[in-house]
Amino acid sequence: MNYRSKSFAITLLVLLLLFTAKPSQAQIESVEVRVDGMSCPFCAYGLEKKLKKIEGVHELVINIDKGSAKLIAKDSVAINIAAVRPAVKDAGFTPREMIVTVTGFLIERDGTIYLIQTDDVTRFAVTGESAFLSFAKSAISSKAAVRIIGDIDNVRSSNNKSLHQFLIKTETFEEQ
Amino acid sequence: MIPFQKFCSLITLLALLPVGCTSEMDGSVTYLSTWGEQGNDAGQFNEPIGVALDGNGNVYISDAGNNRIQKFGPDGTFLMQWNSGSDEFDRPMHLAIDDNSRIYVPEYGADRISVFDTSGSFLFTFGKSGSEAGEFDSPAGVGFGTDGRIYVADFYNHRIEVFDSSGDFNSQFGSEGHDVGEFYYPTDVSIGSKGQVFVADAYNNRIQQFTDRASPQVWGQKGGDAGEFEVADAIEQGPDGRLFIADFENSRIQVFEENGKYLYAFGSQDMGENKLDRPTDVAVSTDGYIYVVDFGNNRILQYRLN
Repeated sequence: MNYRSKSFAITLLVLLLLFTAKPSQAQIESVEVRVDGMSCPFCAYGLEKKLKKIEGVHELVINIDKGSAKLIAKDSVAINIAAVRPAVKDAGFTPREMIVTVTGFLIERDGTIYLIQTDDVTRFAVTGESAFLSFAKSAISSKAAVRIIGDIDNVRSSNNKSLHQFLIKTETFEEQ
Repeated sequence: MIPFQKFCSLITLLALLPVGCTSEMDGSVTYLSTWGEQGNDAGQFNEPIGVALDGNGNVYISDAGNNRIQKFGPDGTFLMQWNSGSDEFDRPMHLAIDDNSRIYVPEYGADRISVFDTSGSFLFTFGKSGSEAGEFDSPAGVGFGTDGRIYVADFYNHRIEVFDSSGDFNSQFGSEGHDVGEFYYPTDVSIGSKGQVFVADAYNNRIQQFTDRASPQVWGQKGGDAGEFEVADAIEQGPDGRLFIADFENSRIQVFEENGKYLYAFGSQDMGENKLDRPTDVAVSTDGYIYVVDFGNNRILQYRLN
């Protein structure tokens, strides 16, 4: 291959990358779930046993005094958030709030802010106070990666039963 | 008024009393000593759960947070530790030692019972995950029948399973519920000299005694008064047949006759640094020494029956 051909191939490759690249999928770093009634080691280790089976969980930290379990993700493997509440119930507890720490890019569709997802079965809508909404507008405009910590809950989808929709009520946010 | 010199002598005498001195508790038992603190070095604990004694009075502790078994002399001298059988331990719970000096370790996270000799050598294992006959969903405690059978409290399956001495499934009884004969997260089982099966029905806050499986005797209810429980999480029979029950949230050990008659409690009184914080197990030697796993304080307390 001569010099001109090489230059053409490289240019083509760069153009292909520019036109096909998508922002990275939102990456869940951790999920912390609070439970009622966790006071003894039988409870704590039972919860540990059920939660560590969830796809994407790399490390699990149970805090008996706080009544919480923190699921820490594997690199590049998403925690199956939809499985967390059923696992807590299976362990014999009532799940309360879940706090998620997630990084990714924001988009706006029909007035709702979402974290970009590339799978078809999970969708994260994001909301917050006016300070977050201003931050989100700026991050969407500049295509900046963001890190969000907030309360996450399931939201039922009326027209697509296989879609897991979640709403994150943002408490802390920052640009990456 | 106390003369100044006598007052000073009294103060001096009190100051000279050793910190770990023997002191009377509850009239029926005497506190002797304690050992352990939080950590993962030899002799330290991270969420200790179970205790069992061998024929020489040696003390075995399941150190669940550290996923290991530690062996101590009767006075708390560290002897040895091990952390695996067929595989690494996954949350070892209430220990039990049979008449052949075999140590049974229910592994709560691995759904199996691992069996060792007193030097920690692995002998065999039985059970696997599930809810079918012979399977476990978090085995928590073990007891032995006079006929050599092995009884296992199967926590999440809310039942007691019975195996022969080699670990082959024999029978099962109980199901989830709050009625007599049903269980709600049982954590331990002990067999009486007449073959009665005593079950620590932990989250029903009661003990159930089965002389036959059709009509168990029940005692205890949720509460903090004498004879009541806030999570009855371990049961052990003393040399005189009396039952010692770890009452987790009430931070005490309660003692009963075999027929369920309440006798006394110890551990919850304000003994300063010797007060229990959520005990998870108790063992009583044939010569009357009592060992309590003080879960919340990551230590072991030793008492003596008076």
